[in-house]
Amino acid sequence: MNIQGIGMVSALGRGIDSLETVLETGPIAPSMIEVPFRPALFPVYAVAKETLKDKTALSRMRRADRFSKMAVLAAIDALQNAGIELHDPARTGVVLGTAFGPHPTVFSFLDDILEFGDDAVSPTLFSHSVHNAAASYVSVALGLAGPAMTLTTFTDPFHQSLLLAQTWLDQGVCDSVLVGGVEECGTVMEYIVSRKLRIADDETNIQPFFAEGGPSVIPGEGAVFFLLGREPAGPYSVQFGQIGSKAEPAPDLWIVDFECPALPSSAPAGCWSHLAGSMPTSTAVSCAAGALILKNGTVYSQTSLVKIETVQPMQIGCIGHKKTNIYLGKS
Amino acid sequence: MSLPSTVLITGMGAVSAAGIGIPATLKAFQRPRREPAPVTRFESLLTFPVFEVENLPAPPELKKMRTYALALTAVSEALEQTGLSNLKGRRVGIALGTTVASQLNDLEFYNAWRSNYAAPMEAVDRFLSGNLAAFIAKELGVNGPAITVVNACSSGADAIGAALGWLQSGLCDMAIAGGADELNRIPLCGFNALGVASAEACRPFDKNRSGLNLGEGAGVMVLETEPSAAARGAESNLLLAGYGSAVDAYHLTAPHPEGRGLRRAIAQALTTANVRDDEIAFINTHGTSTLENDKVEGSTLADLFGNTPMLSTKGYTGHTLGAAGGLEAVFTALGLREGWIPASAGFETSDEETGVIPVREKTKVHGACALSTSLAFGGSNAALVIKYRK
Repeated sequence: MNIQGIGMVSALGRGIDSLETVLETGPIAPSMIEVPFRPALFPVYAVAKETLKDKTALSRMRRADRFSKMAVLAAIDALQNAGIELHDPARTGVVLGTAFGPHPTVFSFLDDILEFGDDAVSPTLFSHSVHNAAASYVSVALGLAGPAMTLTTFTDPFHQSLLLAQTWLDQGVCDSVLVGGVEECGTVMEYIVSRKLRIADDETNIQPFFAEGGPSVIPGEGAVFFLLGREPAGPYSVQFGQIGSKAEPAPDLWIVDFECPALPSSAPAGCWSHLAGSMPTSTAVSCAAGALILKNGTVYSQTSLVKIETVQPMQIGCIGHKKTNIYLGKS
Repeated sequence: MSLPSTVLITGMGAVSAAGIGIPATLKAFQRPRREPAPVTRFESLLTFPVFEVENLPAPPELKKMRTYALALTAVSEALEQTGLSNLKGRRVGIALGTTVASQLNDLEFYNAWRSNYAAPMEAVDRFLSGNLAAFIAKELGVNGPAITVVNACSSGADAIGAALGWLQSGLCDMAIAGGADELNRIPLCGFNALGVASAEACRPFDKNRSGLNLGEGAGVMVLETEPSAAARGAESNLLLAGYGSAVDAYHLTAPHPEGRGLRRAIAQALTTANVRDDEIAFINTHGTSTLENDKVEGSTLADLFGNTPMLSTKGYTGHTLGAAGGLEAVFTALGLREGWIPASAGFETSDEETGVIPVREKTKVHGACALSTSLAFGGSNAALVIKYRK
């Protein structure tokens, strides 16, 4: 599967350039927000409201929630990044992976029930609380008429999304597939994260990998979409190879998701996904970083505890929460 | 497009208001229609009739995880039919559709959070203990691909389609696929707000239909490549022959008036199955009994298939949301295997706008191929073709 274009919406801004800039210049500070569950300010890599303002792209989705808007903008940017025209909209599919879906919208709907009663809730909130609303908006915004699948797993939504896209391309169901990972971080999720993980004080205190008591994190949100096709196109000359436990040849660089439980020893390893905040679909950010590394021939400096030796990677392995790895190589 | 691998259906399980298990379901299909009643499983001001599953066997630890209990019951029945005592050492994928079980929608937790911003974490822990596919994978001790499909009302059919893709690509040799959903206050309130919940028993495709009744259940298939089944001496006459999926790219909740996506999904399913439209013996429709769904689906199917016998089984089960595609795929396979389909419960008066007349009585099946269709929020459409090999 060739990477033809990448779109990204995160606290870093909009577009794959926003990630490339941070890879080159170093991390940005998270937003420090007031939260009702603790007196101290809470760090979060939140998508700025301004990032989601695009009247042209979002013209047909004024009532859409943040989750859907992030997805649509990242998908549109992936297509623009590829710089190609889709020949047949019915031959382009959408696979959206997420762990938690549009949960702030679900909670808003629960607010309606608790405040106004069962018979006075918003139909708009209900229809947007369904996980696949975002993929539907992507299809409408881009005029795509192929299959659209939304799937969830807590551990490896992006891995599983890629596997499905691969079957569609291999079996000729689609000529191209937009594959994305999307997560939103609302106040309730921030509370849950604070109860489940150690929260770093700021970006300089993020401790990936083996910090005692588990890694310290700053939660994030965003969307990353890849336009994938059978043939090379667009600016990357990078392809997804095998999705599985082992690959030949072995990677010469590993990219590890922030909360990865085990660091491989077979090659140098780095971690960049936390630059956009920690989220269940961080593997998509890791893969975007990997595509940039292969495209530019540059291994970016590390801000984490792990040191990178000087390498010119040709094959990159991305490791998420599970042992299923994603391999990236030159087309 | 013709895909090489033959995929057998070597086990099936079904749980719904029509019955717990396939024998009970078939018995219910021969009786006059069941009557839905106001929900008893949770408190609600809404008195719209629903189809509840009664006497569901559920271990204590799943008391507050009803969707999981529904799924586990159907999976157990399906696996029992395969004759496999366990799946260890086998390459097994899990693809299950749901809507309710994918959301952290516990009102008790959320109300506590709103009260003092310090809610206890039991509901969160329960939610995080594994989503539906991960839960079933853990229960069975398998570690192949595992996804919970959340494509609203086509989730179950799309999960079966995803599993078919895995099997044909060699990602696994066996897959457990379908859907499960419990009755829940959120969709009850939501469908009422959308104005599509009926105050009476649903009447799919009837001129006087007034909306849907929610239901709950699980429908699961064990799918297996032919070499995998042959290697263990298993046989099945039922084949999952084709799958198609396409979106309308039109509206979040309303189907495209001309069934744009549904037509493409059906065409793709027939092509991948290598089946002509005139070989379809019957169609198990989505048939929710809402004004719009039945109008669009009915007129599209009438245009494509003319007088081919068709039915909606939602008069027996209610609309089980993420489970519907799974249940209806099982019911379609049962129709081919048993050689008959039940009366389309609730249908009395034909509607020129839908253009279809569902079967009014138990009807003999003439042919070896059948189609099951699913339409969903988000403009998702899915179609499955099932074959009976004599």
